[in-house]
Amino acid sequence: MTTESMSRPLIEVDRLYTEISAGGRTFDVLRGVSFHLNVGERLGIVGESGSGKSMTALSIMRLLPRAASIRSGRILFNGQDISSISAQDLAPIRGSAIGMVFQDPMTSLNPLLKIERQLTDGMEYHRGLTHADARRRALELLERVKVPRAAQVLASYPHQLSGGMRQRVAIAMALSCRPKLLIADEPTTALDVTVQAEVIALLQELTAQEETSVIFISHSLDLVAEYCDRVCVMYAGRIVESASTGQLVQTPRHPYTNDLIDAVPDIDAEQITRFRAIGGQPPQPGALPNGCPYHPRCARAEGICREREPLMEDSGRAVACWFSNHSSKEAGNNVG
Amino acid sequence: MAAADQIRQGAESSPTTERRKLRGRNFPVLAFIFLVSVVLVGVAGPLILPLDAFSGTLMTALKRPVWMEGGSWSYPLGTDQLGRDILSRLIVGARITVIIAIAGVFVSAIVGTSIGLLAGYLGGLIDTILMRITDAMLAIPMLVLGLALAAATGAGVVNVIFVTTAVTWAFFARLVRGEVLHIRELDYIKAAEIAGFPQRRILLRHILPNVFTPLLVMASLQIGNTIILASSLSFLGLGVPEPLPEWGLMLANSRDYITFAPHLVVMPAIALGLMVLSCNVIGDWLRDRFDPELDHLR
Repeated sequence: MTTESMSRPLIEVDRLYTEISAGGRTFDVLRGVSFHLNVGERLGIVGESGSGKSMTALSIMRLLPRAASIRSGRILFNGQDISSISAQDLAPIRGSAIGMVFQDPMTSLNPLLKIERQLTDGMEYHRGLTHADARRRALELLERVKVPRAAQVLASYPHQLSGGMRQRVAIAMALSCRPKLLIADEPTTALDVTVQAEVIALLQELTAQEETSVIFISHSLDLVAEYCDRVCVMYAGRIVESASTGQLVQTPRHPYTNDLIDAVPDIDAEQITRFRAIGGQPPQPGALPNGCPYHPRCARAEGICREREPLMEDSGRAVACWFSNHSSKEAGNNVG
Repeated sequence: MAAADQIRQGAESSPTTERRKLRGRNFPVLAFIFLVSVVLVGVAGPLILPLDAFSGTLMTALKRPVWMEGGSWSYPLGTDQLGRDILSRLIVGARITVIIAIAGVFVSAIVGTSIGLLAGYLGGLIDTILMRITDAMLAIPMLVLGLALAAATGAGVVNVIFVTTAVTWAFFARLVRGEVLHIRELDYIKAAEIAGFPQRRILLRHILPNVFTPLLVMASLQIGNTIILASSLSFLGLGVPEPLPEWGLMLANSRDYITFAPHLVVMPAIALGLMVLSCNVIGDWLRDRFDPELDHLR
């Protein structure tokens, strides 16, 4: 990872609005999401269920459910806007430049095809390999994702493998065509904690080798902090804070980020205290409160928070909060 | 298919007894034996025919079956009003019935599956148009629609297959569309889309094989339906033409004799009844075995 390649953006999302229609109503699930990702960089997107983090990934991949569609905004991939190009033009980009790992390894592999078919298909189709070559590469891939007895796994059906194994196979599949961008949508949520750590370590190792950029989506700030260079925190369809991992964890500026950090139980704490849960529910898309969408749950909310929604203020640190000038840890005492 | 089955049930295998309870009844041996023998007899047909099924003399007309007074082993199930051997006619009839049932369901499944796949996968306006047509087909009683079509096309084995297809494809279309709607949202379809495969390949390689299990169950249940429909058409004179001994047609031709030669009616009726019953029993068993949730196929 040279500094030069690090500073070249691979993907730039610019004021992305994605809407969904249900029951005759249409509302935005993404409300102007903007971020960029440099070559070789690992970006984490954190938020609660319904915050729009998966919708962001699906919008980039153009895999939105039928009821949803991109209303406006641009998604530049290597300088090309992929938010509006035709499916025919999109197919080769998706196939060779983007890979995706899903949450549930139960459903991310076709139950009726052997692992060998699923791994070699893409390589034969996109890279024109013969089956023998593709198979050799598949074996290599399985070994790289640390699957024991790779030859035997190739001849298996998905249901014969454990969840951890299936997720490794899914990672191998996502990486089989050497993508420039890997989107991992909660890739460890369905796994045991011990397997989680292994899968994260694996992702870290593999993506570092190939300089793959990663968008890592998770509801766990902990995992993201461990793995990513930079973190975007999403709330109610917007990014509310974006910073490098170190800054974000040490000096969170947005009260929501702060609350998220407080909600993680600290296993090393000398004194065992009850961890603090965030009260209330995240708002439903289409039923956002006036003003800042976080104000009903925010301990520091004041008059202005109920009236006007703060916009992303990008001066070094990007935070969408009326009180973002202060680190919220101190601000809690000074302002509140 | 065993793989898909296991996945639906959850890969962790439960004790055998528990699983048997979950999956319901045992394998229907009798129905299976009956069906297989009808198919074998139908295929072997002319080779094992005891007597001529198409001609007889009035001298031998209306003989009773062997177990009744006046019956003889030369005509084990008796003869009809024209002196033709009923057993031979049933055997030839089995052949016609099997051909119509298999061809009818096969063509119907292909037509219905294609329409269901397209509607479910492409969605939008195509889906709406195809499914409204499907709903309209399902709203008209099968026999009424079948009669109208049969009256328009005329009698004949091929025409009967056409009519049964036209009347039953909607069942397949609706089933397949529903399954596709479910499967297309699964991650492995998304993964295939990300992999940049063309739609045709995703449909044929990833979606179609995964709707195969419910399709098989539906097909086995539709066989009974198709046989009844075909026989009803023949009974009403719009199906298989004379002198072919289609079972429904045999019933129709012998109903004048029901009071003094009831075996003329009873024999084809039993054959028809057992055939449909066997198909349905096996269909039920397949449904229970492959997916306890497929109750809506009933």
